[in-house]
Amino acid sequence: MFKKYLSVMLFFVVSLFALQSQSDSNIWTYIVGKVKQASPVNNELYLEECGACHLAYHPGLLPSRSWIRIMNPNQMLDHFGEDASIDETTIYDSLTNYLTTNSADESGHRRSRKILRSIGANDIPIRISDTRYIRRKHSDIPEDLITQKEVGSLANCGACHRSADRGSFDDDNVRVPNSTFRLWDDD
Amino acid sequence: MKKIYLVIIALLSFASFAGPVDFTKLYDSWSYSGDLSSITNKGQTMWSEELIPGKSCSSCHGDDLSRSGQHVKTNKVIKPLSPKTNPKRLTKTRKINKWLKRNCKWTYKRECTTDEKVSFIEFIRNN
Repeated sequence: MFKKYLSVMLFFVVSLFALQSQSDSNIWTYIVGKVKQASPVNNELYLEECGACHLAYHPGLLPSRSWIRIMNPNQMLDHFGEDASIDETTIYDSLTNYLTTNSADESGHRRSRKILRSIGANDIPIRISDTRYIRRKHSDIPEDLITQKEVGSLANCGACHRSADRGSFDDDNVRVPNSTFRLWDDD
Repeated sequence: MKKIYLVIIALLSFASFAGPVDFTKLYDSWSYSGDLSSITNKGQTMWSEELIPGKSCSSCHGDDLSRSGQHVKTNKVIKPLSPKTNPKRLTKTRKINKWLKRNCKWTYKRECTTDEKVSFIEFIRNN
Protein backbone atom coordinates (compact mmCIF):
# COMPACT_ATOMS: atom_id res chain seq x y z
CA MET A 1 0.00 0.00 0.00
CA PHE A 2 2.68 2.43 1.06
CA LYS A 3 4.79 1.46 -1.93
CA LYS A 4 1.91 2.33 -4.27
CA TYR A 5 1.61 5.85 -2.85
CA LEU A 6 5.35 6.26 -2.98
CA SER A 7 5.45 5.55 -6.68
CA VAL A 8 2.59 7.98 -7.32
CA MET A 9 4.36 10.66 -5.28
CA LEU A 10 7.60 9.97 -7.07
CA PHE A 11 5.83 10.36 -10.39
CA PHE A 12 4.57 13.82 -9.38
CA VAL A 13 7.90 14.97 -8.04
CA VAL A 14 9.68 13.88 -11.21
CA SER A 15 7.01 15.59 -13.33
CA LEU A 16 7.40 18.78 -11.33
CA PHE A 17 11.14 18.89 -11.91
CA ALA A 18 10.69 18.00 -15.56
CA LEU A 19 8.23 20.87 -15.96
CA GLN A 20 10.50 23.19 -14.04
CA SER A 21 13.44 22.48 -16.33
CA GLN A 22 11.28 23.26 -19.40
CA SER A 23 9.55 26.23 -17.90
CA ASP A 24 10.20 29.91 -18.53
CA SER A 25 9.65 30.70 -14.89
CA ASN A 26 10.67 29.39 -11.54
CA ILE A 27 8.05 27.00 -10.21
CA TRP A 28 9.16 27.50 -6.61
CA THR A 29 8.59 31.23 -6.65
CA TYR A 30 5.23 30.48 -8.28
CA ILE A 31 4.28 28.04 -5.54
CA VAL A 32 5.27 30.37 -2.72
CA GLY A 33 3.37 33.19 -4.40
CA LYS A 34 6.09 35.42 -5.75
CA VAL A 35 5.86 37.04 -9.17
CA LYS A 36 5.88 34.43 -11.90
CA GLN A 37 5.24 36.61 -14.93
CA ALA A 38 6.03 40.25 -15.45
CA SER A 39 2.77 42.13 -15.12
CA PRO A 40 1.69 44.13 -18.15
CA VAL A 41 2.33 47.84 -18.09
CA ASN A 42 -0.95 49.21 -16.77
CA ASN A 43 -0.06 52.66 -15.53
CA GLU A 44 -2.29 55.10 -17.43
CA LEU A 45 0.02 58.07 -16.95
CA TYR A 46 3.06 56.11 -18.16
CA LEU A 47 1.17 54.75 -21.15
CA GLU A 48 0.03 58.23 -22.08
CA GLU A 49 3.13 60.30 -21.44
CA CYS A 50 5.77 57.81 -22.59
CA GLY A 51 3.80 55.28 -24.58
CA ALA A 52 2.52 57.89 -27.02
CA CYS A 53 5.87 58.00 -28.83
CA HIS A 54 7.41 54.61 -28.09
CA LEU A 55 6.66 51.27 -26.51
CA ALA A 56 5.97 51.80 -22.82
CA TYR A 57 9.03 49.77 -21.85
CA HIS A 58 8.40 47.48 -18.93
CA PRO A 59 9.89 49.07 -15.79
CA GLY A 60 11.39 45.69 -14.91
CA LEU A 61 13.82 46.04 -17.81
CA LEU A 62 16.04 48.54 -15.97
CA PRO A 63 17.10 49.15 -12.36
CA SER A 64 15.73 52.07 -10.37
CA ARG A 65 18.93 54.07 -10.69
CA SER A 66 18.55 54.01 -14.48
CA TRP A 67 14.94 55.19 -14.39
CA ILE A 68 15.87 57.99 -12.02
CA ARG A 69 18.61 59.09 -14.42
CA ILE A 70 16.33 58.90 -17.47
CA MET A 71 13.50 60.78 -15.77
CA ASN A 72 15.70 63.66 -14.63
CA PRO A 73 14.05 66.82 -16.05
CA ASN A 74 17.38 68.01 -17.52
CA GLN A 75 17.94 64.66 -19.16
CA MET A 76 14.42 64.85 -20.60
CA LEU A 77 15.38 67.93 -22.63
CA ASP A 78 17.59 65.58 -24.63
CA HIS A 79 15.76 62.27 -24.42
CA PHE A 80 17.71 60.18 -26.94
CA GLY A 81 17.95 63.24 -29.16
CA GLU A 82 14.41 64.51 -28.60
CA ASP A 83 13.03 67.16 -26.31
CA ALA A 84 10.55 65.13 -24.28
CA SER A 85 10.26 67.57 -21.40
CA ILE A 86 6.99 67.77 -19.49
CA ASP A 87 5.68 71.03 -18.06
CA GLU A 88 4.21 69.66 -14.86
CA THR A 89 6.92 68.59 -12.40
CA THR A 90 4.38 66.44 -10.54
CA ILE A 91 4.16 64.22 -13.61
CA TYR A 92 7.89 63.54 -13.41
CA ASP A 93 7.45 62.53 -9.79
CA SER A 94 4.53 60.20 -10.50
CA LEU A 95 6.29 58.57 -13.45
CA THR A 96 9.56 58.10 -11.57
CA ASN A 97 7.64 56.68 -8.66
CA TYR A 98 5.87 54.15 -10.87
CA LEU A 99 9.08 53.19 -12.69
CA THR A 100 11.17 52.74 -9.56
CA THR A 101 8.57 50.80 -7.60
CA ASN A 102 8.29 48.34 -10.51
CA SER A 103 11.93 48.37 -11.62
CA ALA A 104 14.23 45.39 -12.06
CA ASP A 105 15.39 45.83 -8.44
CA GLU A 106 11.85 45.30 -7.21
CA SER A 107 10.79 42.62 -9.66
CA GLY A 108 10.87 38.93 -8.88
CA HIS A 109 10.83 38.12 -12.56
CA ARG A 110 13.72 36.04 -13.77
CA ARG A 111 14.61 38.26 -16.71
CA SER A 112 14.72 41.31 -14.46
CA ARG A 113 17.15 39.53 -12.19
CA LYS A 114 19.30 38.51 -15.14
CA ILE A 115 19.34 42.06 -16.51
CA LEU A 116 20.26 43.34 -13.07
CA ARG A 117 23.12 40.86 -12.69
CA SER A 118 24.49 41.83 -16.11
CA ILE A 119 24.90 45.50 -15.13
CA GLY A 120 28.06 46.63 -13.39
CA ALA A 121 27.55 47.90 -9.84
CA ASN A 122 28.65 51.40 -10.84
CA ASP A 123 26.92 51.49 -14.21
CA ILE A 124 23.71 53.41 -14.76
CA PRO A 125 22.60 52.43 -18.27
CA ILE A 126 19.90 54.54 -19.89
CA ARG A 127 19.35 52.15 -22.78
CA ILE A 128 17.85 48.73 -22.12
CA SER A 129 19.70 47.56 -25.23
CA ASP A 130 23.01 48.57 -23.64
CA THR A 131 22.73 46.04 -20.84
CA ARG A 132 24.92 42.98 -21.30
CA TYR A 133 22.04 40.53 -20.89
CA ILE A 134 19.92 42.11 -23.62
CA ARG A 135 22.93 42.48 -25.92
CA ARG A 136 23.87 38.83 -25.46
CA LYS A 137 20.31 37.63 -26.01
CA HIS A 138 20.27 39.41 -29.37
CA SER A 139 23.86 38.74 -30.44
CA ASP A 140 22.98 35.94 -32.86
CA ILE A 141 20.52 38.00 -34.88
CA PRO A 142 21.94 39.15 -38.22
CA GLU A 143 22.49 42.91 -38.22
CA ASP A 144 20.35 43.55 -41.31
CA LEU A 145 17.30 42.00 -39.62
CA ILE A 146 17.64 44.58 -36.87
CA THR A 147 18.35 47.60 -39.06
CA GLN A 148 15.61 46.77 -41.58
CA LYS A 149 12.80 49.32 -41.93
CA GLU A 150 10.22 47.30 -40.01
CA VAL A 151 12.46 47.10 -36.94
CA GLY A 152 15.03 49.91 -36.97
CA SER A 153 16.90 49.09 -33.80
CA LEU A 154 16.83 46.91 -30.70
CA ALA A 155 14.80 49.68 -29.04
CA ASN A 156 11.77 48.68 -31.11
CA CYS A 157 10.99 45.59 -29.01
CA GLY A 158 7.45 45.20 -30.30
CA ALA A 159 8.55 44.74 -33.92
CA CYS A 160 9.58 41.15 -33.13
CA HIS A 161 8.34 40.51 -29.58
CA ARG A 162 4.67 40.58 -30.42
CA SER A 163 3.63 40.49 -26.76
CA ALA A 164 6.11 43.11 -25.57
CA ASP A 165 3.27 45.46 -24.67
CA ARG A 166 1.98 42.77 -22.30
CA GLY A 167 5.37 42.45 -20.65
CA SER A 168 6.05 39.08 -22.23
CA PHE A 169 9.31 38.43 -24.05
CA ASP A 170 8.89 34.69 -24.38
CA ASP A 171 10.63 33.14 -27.38
CA ASP A 172 7.30 31.66 -28.50
CA ASN A 173 5.98 35.12 -29.33
CA VAL A 174 8.97 36.25 -31.37
CA ARG A 175 8.42 36.86 -35.08
CA VAL A 176 11.16 38.74 -36.88
CA PRO A 177 9.66 40.63 -39.84
CA ASN A 178 10.64 39.34 -43.31
CA SER A 179 12.45 36.40 -41.81
CA THR A 180 11.96 32.93 -40.45
CA PHE A 181 14.72 33.57 -37.94
CA ARG A 182 13.86 31.98 -34.61
CA LEU A 183 15.91 32.11 -31.50
CA TRP A 184 15.81 28.99 -29.41
CA ASP A 185 18.13 29.95 -26.66
CA ASP A 186 17.49 28.05 -23.47
CA ASP A 187 19.11 30.65 -21.29
CA MET B 1 -29.78 46.22 -8.19
CA LYS B 2 -30.12 46.49 -11.95
CA LYS B 3 -31.11 50.12 -11.52
CA ILE B 4 -27.81 50.91 -9.87
CA TYR B 5 -25.91 49.57 -12.86
CA LEU B 6 -28.05 51.64 -15.19
CA VAL B 7 -27.35 54.77 -13.17
CA ILE B 8 -23.62 53.99 -13.14
CA ILE B 9 -23.58 53.43 -16.90
CA ALA B 10 -25.50 56.67 -17.44
CA LEU B 11 -23.07 58.58 -15.22
CA LEU B 12 -20.08 57.07 -16.99
CA SER B 13 -21.42 57.96 -20.38
CA PHE B 14 -21.97 61.52 -19.22
CA ALA B 15 -18.48 61.64 -17.77
CA SER B 16 -16.96 60.67 -21.09
CA PHE B 17 -18.81 63.49 -22.79
CA ALA B 18 -18.07 66.01 -20.10
CA GLY B 19 -16.80 69.37 -21.27
CA PRO B 20 -16.14 69.24 -25.01
CA VAL B 21 -13.43 71.65 -26.01
CA ASP B 22 -14.70 75.13 -26.74
CA PHE B 23 -12.41 76.09 -29.58
CA THR B 24 -13.28 79.78 -29.49
CA LYS B 25 -12.23 79.81 -25.84
CA LEU B 26 -9.11 77.81 -26.64
CA TYR B 27 -8.05 80.21 -29.37
CA ASP B 28 -8.83 83.13 -27.06
CA SER B 29 -6.50 81.58 -24.50
CA TRP B 30 -3.76 81.83 -27.12
CA SER B 31 -4.83 85.47 -27.70
CA TYR B 32 -5.85 84.72 -31.26
CA SER B 33 -7.45 87.72 -32.89
CA GLY B 34 -7.45 86.67 -36.52
CA ASP B 35 -10.27 85.66 -38.79
CA LEU B 36 -10.91 81.91 -38.80
CA SER B 37 -12.36 81.90 -42.31
CA SER B 38 -9.06 83.18 -43.70
CA ILE B 39 -7.02 80.19 -42.59
CA THR B 40 -9.02 77.36 -44.19
CA ASN B 41 -6.21 75.65 -46.08
CA LYS B 42 -3.24 77.02 -44.21
CA GLY B 43 -2.95 74.05 -41.87
CA GLN B 44 -3.12 71.59 -44.72
CA THR B 45 -0.31 73.35 -46.62
CA MET B 46 1.86 73.54 -43.52
CA TRP B 47 1.15 69.90 -42.62
CA SER B 48 3.76 68.46 -44.94
CA GLU B 49 6.09 71.47 -45.04
CA GLU B 50 9.57 70.66 -43.76
CA LEU B 51 11.06 73.71 -42.06
CA ILE B 52 13.75 71.32 -40.86
CA PRO B 53 14.64 68.71 -43.49
CA GLY B 54 12.91 65.38 -42.86
CA LYS B 55 10.56 66.77 -40.23
CA SER B 56 6.95 67.75 -40.75
CA CYS B 57 3.62 66.88 -39.13
CA SER B 58 3.07 64.25 -41.77
CA SER B 59 6.39 62.52 -41.04
CA CYS B 60 4.68 60.81 -38.12
CA HIS B 61 0.95 61.48 -38.60
CA GLY B 62 0.80 60.88 -42.36
CA ASP B 63 -1.15 62.94 -44.86
CA ASP B 64 -4.47 61.17 -44.39
CA LEU B 65 -5.62 62.05 -40.88
CA SER B 66 -8.27 59.35 -40.90
CA ARG B 67 -5.53 56.73 -40.94
CA SER B 68 -2.91 55.70 -38.41
CA GLY B 69 0.53 57.22 -38.60
CA GLN B 70 3.89 55.87 -37.59
CA HIS B 71 6.54 57.63 -35.52
CA VAL B 72 9.41 58.24 -37.90
CA LYS B 73 12.05 57.42 -35.31
CA THR B 74 10.53 54.77 -33.04
CA ASN B 75 8.15 53.16 -35.56
CA LYS B 76 5.41 53.31 -32.96
CA VAL B 77 1.95 53.33 -34.54
CA ILE B 78 0.11 56.58 -33.82
CA LYS B 79 -3.67 56.40 -33.83
CA PRO B 80 -5.54 58.56 -36.36
CA LEU B 81 -5.67 62.27 -35.56
CA SER B 82 -9.02 62.87 -37.20
CA PRO B 83 -11.79 63.31 -34.59
CA LYS B 84 -14.15 61.70 -37.10
CA THR B 85 -12.32 58.37 -37.04
CA ASN B 86 -10.89 58.74 -33.55
CA PRO B 87 -13.44 60.52 -31.35
CA LYS B 88 -10.95 60.85 -28.50
CA ARG B 89 -8.96 63.44 -30.44
CA LEU B 90 -9.27 67.13 -29.55
CA THR B 91 -11.37 66.43 -26.48
CA LYS B 92 -9.01 67.74 -23.80
CA THR B 93 -7.57 71.25 -23.75
CA ARG B 94 -4.64 70.13 -21.63
CA LYS B 95 -3.69 67.48 -24.16
CA ILE B 96 -4.05 69.83 -27.12
CA ASN B 97 -1.71 72.34 -25.52
CA LYS B 98 0.73 69.69 -24.41
CA TRP B 99 1.08 68.01 -27.78
CA LEU B 100 1.20 71.25 -29.76
CA LYS B 101 4.07 72.36 -27.59
CA ARG B 102 5.96 69.08 -27.68
CA ASN B 103 5.44 68.39 -31.35
CA CYS B 104 6.17 71.93 -32.53
CA LYS B 105 9.47 71.71 -30.66
CA TRP B 106 10.17 68.39 -32.35
CA THR B 107 9.23 69.56 -35.83
CA TYR B 108 10.37 73.19 -35.80
CA LYS B 109 12.81 73.26 -32.87
CA ARG B 110 10.67 76.05 -31.42
CA GLU B 111 7.16 76.51 -30.13
CA CYS B 112 4.51 77.34 -32.71
CA THR B 113 3.04 80.78 -33.16
CA THR B 114 -0.63 81.34 -32.36
CA ASP B 115 -1.39 81.49 -36.06
CA GLU B 116 0.29 78.15 -36.71
CA LYS B 117 -1.46 76.50 -33.77
CA VAL B 118 -4.90 77.68 -34.85
CA SER B 119 -4.22 76.59 -38.42
CA PHE B 120 -3.20 73.09 -37.34
CA ILE B 121 -6.15 72.60 -34.99
CA GLU B 122 -8.61 73.88 -37.59
CA PHE B 123 -7.10 71.47 -40.12
CA ILE B 124 -7.36 68.52 -37.73
CA ARG B 125 -10.90 69.46 -36.68
CA ASN B 126 -12.14 69.47 -40.22
CA ASN B 127 -10.41 66.37 -41.54
